[in-house]
Amino acid sequence: MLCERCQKQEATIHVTQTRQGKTTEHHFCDSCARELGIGHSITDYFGTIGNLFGSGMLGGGSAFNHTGGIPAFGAAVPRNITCPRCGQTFEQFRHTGLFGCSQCYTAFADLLDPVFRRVQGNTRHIGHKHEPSEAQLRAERLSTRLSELKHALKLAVDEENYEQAARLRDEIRQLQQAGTQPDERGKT
Amino acid sequence: MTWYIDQGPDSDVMISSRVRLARNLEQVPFPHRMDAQTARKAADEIVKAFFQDDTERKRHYLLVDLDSLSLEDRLALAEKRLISEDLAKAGDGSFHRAMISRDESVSIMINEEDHIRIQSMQPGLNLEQAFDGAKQAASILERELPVAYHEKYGYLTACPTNTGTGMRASVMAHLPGLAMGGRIKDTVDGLIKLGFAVRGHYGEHSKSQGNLFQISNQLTLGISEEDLINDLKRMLQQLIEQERGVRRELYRRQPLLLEDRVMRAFATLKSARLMTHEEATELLSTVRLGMALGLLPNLQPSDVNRIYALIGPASIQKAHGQAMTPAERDSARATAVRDLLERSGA
Ligand SMILES: [Zn+2]
Ligand SMILES: [Zn+2]
Repeated sequence: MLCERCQKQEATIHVTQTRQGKTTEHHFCDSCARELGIGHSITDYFGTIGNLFGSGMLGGGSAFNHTGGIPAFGAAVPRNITCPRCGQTFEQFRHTGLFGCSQCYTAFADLLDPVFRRVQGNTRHIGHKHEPSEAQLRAERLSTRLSELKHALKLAVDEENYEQAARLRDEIRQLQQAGTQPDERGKT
Repeated sequence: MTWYIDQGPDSDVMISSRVRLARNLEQVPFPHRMDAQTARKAADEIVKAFFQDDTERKRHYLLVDLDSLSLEDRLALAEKRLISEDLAKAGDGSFHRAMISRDESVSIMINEEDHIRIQSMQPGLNLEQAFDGAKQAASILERELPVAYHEKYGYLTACPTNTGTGMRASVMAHLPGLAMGGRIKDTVDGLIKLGFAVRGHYGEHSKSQGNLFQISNQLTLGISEEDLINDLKRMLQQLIEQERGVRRELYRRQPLLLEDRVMRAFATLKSARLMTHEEATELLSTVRLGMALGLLPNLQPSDVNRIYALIGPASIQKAHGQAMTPAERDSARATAVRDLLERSGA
């Protein structure tokens, strides 16, 4: 079987894509797969196959231009959405097929259901749930406590209780300092 | 159990089973967007979270700093399928690490496409046990680390094809019967229609690579880990029966032809002085078939798997230390094959 992209070499990678309940088959040779961002070895192929669908299904890449089989995104895609944490834009995501960080999922949330319907045929995880780690629980408690204190501070200022306000400010500062240590890397 | 040393279920057809789980840190950009300092910090954090002060775990797992290994050494790890080839080929200074269990059944890759890629391998068809191994390692890490998880999307990964469970379950299947019987194309097409991904050579003009096919799930979202494994396993059990049926039929029709082919392949492996990787893979495929048909009673599937794992170009090169010409490599490979066969008592 020949590669559907170059029509020259033997196809060695065989996959289907599910979208809107319909499946289509795709067959690529090693070098086309490589160009599409699929690792060429058996071992890593499954790890990076995503780029193929990433660019294809999102309509931005060149992966499927020759097949014409994958509909591009509608015209009304806002191109300037940027993830506040990592700075990746939705446009870059369309191009590379990779998210920049976990926050991208939230930043692009309104645009992701069609993406996942095409790639996965589904939009909701029903497998194992992650139990928050100790660090995550600590961070959650810290953020709850901080918002409580900030609320109290606002009340104290409104009531012109400056002694109380100063005490609260100190406590907030201390908590924020303690909280930045495990969190520092988030700022890079 | 080690995929290339121990014996697993259905090993006449299934070489190995593997389950991979992808996990990421919540606050850190995914590896393709990390700078060196962030990558180092993430790597340190993951390693620390995994080992903690657990002396037992420190004994059981080896921490490998991939940046400090030569390309050959890294590729040799990939040939044993302990790390991905992408990771092996990635340049130095990217803070790539691997934590590999001493029995080589579990390996945890750090800063690959995702921050954490746990993979667990078992010989033969044994996806459940492979999954258990991966799950255990994942739960150690998830207890300690702020793992990126979303109520709706599940485990968050760099690529949307892994989102959800982050799981890829796969097997390496040896299908010489279906290939010789001219039925491999229909079989692979059928698997693809059912929604599985297949990797391997097939088709009229294809150069076979030892009739090896890697078959895996494609979807990771909207299906539970257990259902996914069960779907794959049910399909594989049918595939195994088909392959066995075709082998029996081929042997019944032309016993002498098949025996001749098997014994010639075996004799070549035992006595050749020069051997390319391709030829070795091809001959091992025929020998593996003969073994399953009972023609080589002194040989075990694991003997052949061990040879598969140790005769790749990088493994041969690594065993020799200094740089080799292709001819030297072919000679070293032929010697290695003879030694391994001799040691297996066949
Ligand atoms: Zn091609
Ligand atoms: Zn982001």
